[in-house]
Amino acid sequence: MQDTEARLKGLMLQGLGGDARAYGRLLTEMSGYLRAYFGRRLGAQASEAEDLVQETLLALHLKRDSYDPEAPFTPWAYAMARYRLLEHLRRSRRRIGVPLEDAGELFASENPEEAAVRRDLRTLLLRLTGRQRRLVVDVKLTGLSIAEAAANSGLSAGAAKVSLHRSLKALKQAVRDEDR
Amino acid sequence: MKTAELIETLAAQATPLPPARPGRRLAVALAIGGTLALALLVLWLGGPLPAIASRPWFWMKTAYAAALMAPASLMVVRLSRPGAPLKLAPLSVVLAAILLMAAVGCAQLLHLPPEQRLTAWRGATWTVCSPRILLLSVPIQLCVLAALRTLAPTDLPRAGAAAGFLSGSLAAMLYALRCPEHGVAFVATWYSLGILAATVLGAAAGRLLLRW
Repeated sequence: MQDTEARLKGLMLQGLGGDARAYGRLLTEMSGYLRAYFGRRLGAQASEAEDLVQETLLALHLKRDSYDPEAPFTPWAYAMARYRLLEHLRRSRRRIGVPLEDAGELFASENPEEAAVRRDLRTLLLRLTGRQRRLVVDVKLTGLSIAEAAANSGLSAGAAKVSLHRSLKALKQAVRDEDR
Repeated sequence: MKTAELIETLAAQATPLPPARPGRRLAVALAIGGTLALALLVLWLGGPLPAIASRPWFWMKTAYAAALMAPASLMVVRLSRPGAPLKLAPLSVVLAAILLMAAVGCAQLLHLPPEQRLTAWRGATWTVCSPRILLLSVPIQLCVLAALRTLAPTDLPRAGAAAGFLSGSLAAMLYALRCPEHGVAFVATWYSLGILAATVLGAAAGRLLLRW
């Protein structure tokens, strides 16, 4: 998150100084984040999200002098995006709540596919019990050894191996079922 | 138009742009709005009372209004930018000022014999004071809202309310030129109510007029 902030702020300041290439790069990166953010909030209406992305880019451009160079970039961009989203919802009279989150939410995912994958993964993992899930996450995602993960969950290495094998089998079956 | 084309067009317009200075724009708005309100004061209410500047109770009102205007200006400037964090300090100063006036006002009333307290609190003009402050705030509010439209507020009701509060405080300061009342309790009550009314008006106006 800090890297994104630093990078985008740098590009913004260069853009405000007249560097067209930096500014173009900023807007391109922002369009990716905006698309993902609006996609998450609006559901799957892609064309709607794209219009909103363009509207927000235009807003960022027209009101770029409202950015205070001493202040962080992320809250400014987030407030813009959220404002345009609320305006859009107001005009189309939709009653979706848009929570006021931490500004970093804007950069939570670079594209909708990634967010969808993360969602699917979370759903699948929820099929497991707490202990099974912890083992899978420890070994397969965090990269701990079986011995370390077993110690975390208070199991013997043998028992952990069996549980892991069963969990992965169940997950594979679940994915096959979902795809059908 | 595809997004990539839009980005190309916008990037081509990336001329160097200095950051906006909301403080300066606000100062100009208050100067213009204040002048209009002063004109309204002269035309409608007959202008300042003679030798008003020699009256200590005039300066008491001026000090109160100034104590409200300073933090209010900070709040308006902060709310003119997207994403600026709301700080509690200005709001605390406002509350402290109001409470202090209320306390001093009470103390002043308690020094009077009980049968005189109600008349002292209401003064001669309590029915017209707050509405006059509200009305005098209108030209100021229009100028401040106009300035805000050139900036980028993203919390419209709050920005409007802060603008209303600021305008009301300036209006109260100008009204003091014409106001014959001496009592601190009077000012703490009726001036504050007028400013509160201006704040509510500002919040409503902000929702309507600050959209972009």
